[in-house]
Amino acid sequence: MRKLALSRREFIAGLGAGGGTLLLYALMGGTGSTEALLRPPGAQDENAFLARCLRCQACVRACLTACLEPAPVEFGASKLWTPRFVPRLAKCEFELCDRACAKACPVNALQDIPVDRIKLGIAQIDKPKCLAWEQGLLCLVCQECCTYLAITQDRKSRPHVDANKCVGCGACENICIADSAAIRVLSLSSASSPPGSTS
Amino acid sequence: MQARSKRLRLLRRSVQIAFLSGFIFLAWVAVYPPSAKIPENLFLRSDPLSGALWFLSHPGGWVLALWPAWVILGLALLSGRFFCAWICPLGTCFDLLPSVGRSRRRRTQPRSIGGSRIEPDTRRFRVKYFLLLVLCSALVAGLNMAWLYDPLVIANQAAIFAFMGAIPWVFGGLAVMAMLYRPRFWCQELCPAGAIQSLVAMLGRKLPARLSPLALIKEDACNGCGVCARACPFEISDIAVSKPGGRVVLPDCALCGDCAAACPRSGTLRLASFGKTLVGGASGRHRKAESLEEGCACGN
Repeated sequence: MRKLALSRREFIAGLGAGGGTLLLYALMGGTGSTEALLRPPGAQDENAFLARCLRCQACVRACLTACLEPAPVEFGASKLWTPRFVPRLAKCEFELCDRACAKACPVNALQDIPVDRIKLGIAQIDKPKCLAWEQGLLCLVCQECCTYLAITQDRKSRPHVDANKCVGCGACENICIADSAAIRVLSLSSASSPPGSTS
Repeated sequence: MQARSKRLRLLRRSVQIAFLSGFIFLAWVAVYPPSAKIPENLFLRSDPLSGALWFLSHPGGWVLALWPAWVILGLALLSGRFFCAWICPLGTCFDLLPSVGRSRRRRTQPRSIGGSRIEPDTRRFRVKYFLLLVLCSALVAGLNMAWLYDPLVIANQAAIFAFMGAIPWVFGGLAVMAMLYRPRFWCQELCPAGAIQSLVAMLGRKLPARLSPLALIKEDACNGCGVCARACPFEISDIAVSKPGGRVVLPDCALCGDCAAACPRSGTLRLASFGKTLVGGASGRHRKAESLEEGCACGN
């Protein structure tokens, strides 16, 4: 019968190759966009999620509104084909769909957490692009579509986001009539340290 | 090719295509709304690799959700990596793909056949254990590379990408390699899920054949002609030189039974289920000559 065990040299080489792959990943991850991706509901911590997610696309297939897409290579090799929530594709209907993505996940990388604990991100207004803020037009489409009443208007009819009420469902970004959305859902990590603080 | 060999090929292809169709069906129906009756991610949860490795990235709560994987791993203890030859959708695709250019004949030929010593060149089959180690160490460090290495994830990705109209790069690359190089090169040289099952199979190598759902049994009548080694689609030459007299457990054997169907001496090499012969045994051309030896075959 053929011997199966790896020799010590092969074992150490295996560990070395694993470390090398990690290093390569880290380097390639650094070349990608550093923008934190929006994740489907139930993905708790980004690092834990990356360790768990198989990139099997079950959640992308299961999504009610088709708001998920496999992350393209621009976001780095370590995030390639992980599910990415793109509000411009569709709003996340996590209250309607009964967390279809979490239920489809074979390894619980997405956990089926209660609706009231879901917060996908926080919407932020990019004022130079916003018709109401920049051109003074009467556009409050984002406020009208927000079912969480997280967008309010001031006396000049300009939208403001209440970060506490916003759950990041993406309805506002999806419906924004500017060419590239003037209101964007940012992930919780990047929303906490915004470059130009808005709203 | 003998009639029983054709029958076996037909049986295995039918089982494979049934599982592949089931896999594609489940991937197709896995859209909203989630079904209460159909277990849509059953194949992904029966993946022996994620079953064995999940605990490395999940501190707790991994036992129940992945019960199908534990079933497969439990069966692997008794039957080796039968999953690869009979169930795995990726392996089925490789078997069904046409070969392009190069002949589909394997390269791992026994160096000599007919009584003399056979020295198979299967060292490169050990790459998959190496890869498994890479996968484990990466996973411990918080990086999941299943999308590149896991057969069921690759197959599921391919199906869903195809439904979306995108190109499944990993699957496509492997399919091209299978067509140009050798159909089962991925399974034997690289697949870490196969490696896990091989390791589990070696743990259970002492278990008797009558407990095993699929087992390869070799009797003492073997004269070492080497036909079995040539028939093996998984390119295992060791079958020709393994010790006769009971269940043969080879780490890379996927229990497809082609060797048993090809064996020219009846009652020598057979594929059995719980001790009951499926292929091989008494139905060969040499039936009359070997009937005496047949009488003492174990468990039959």
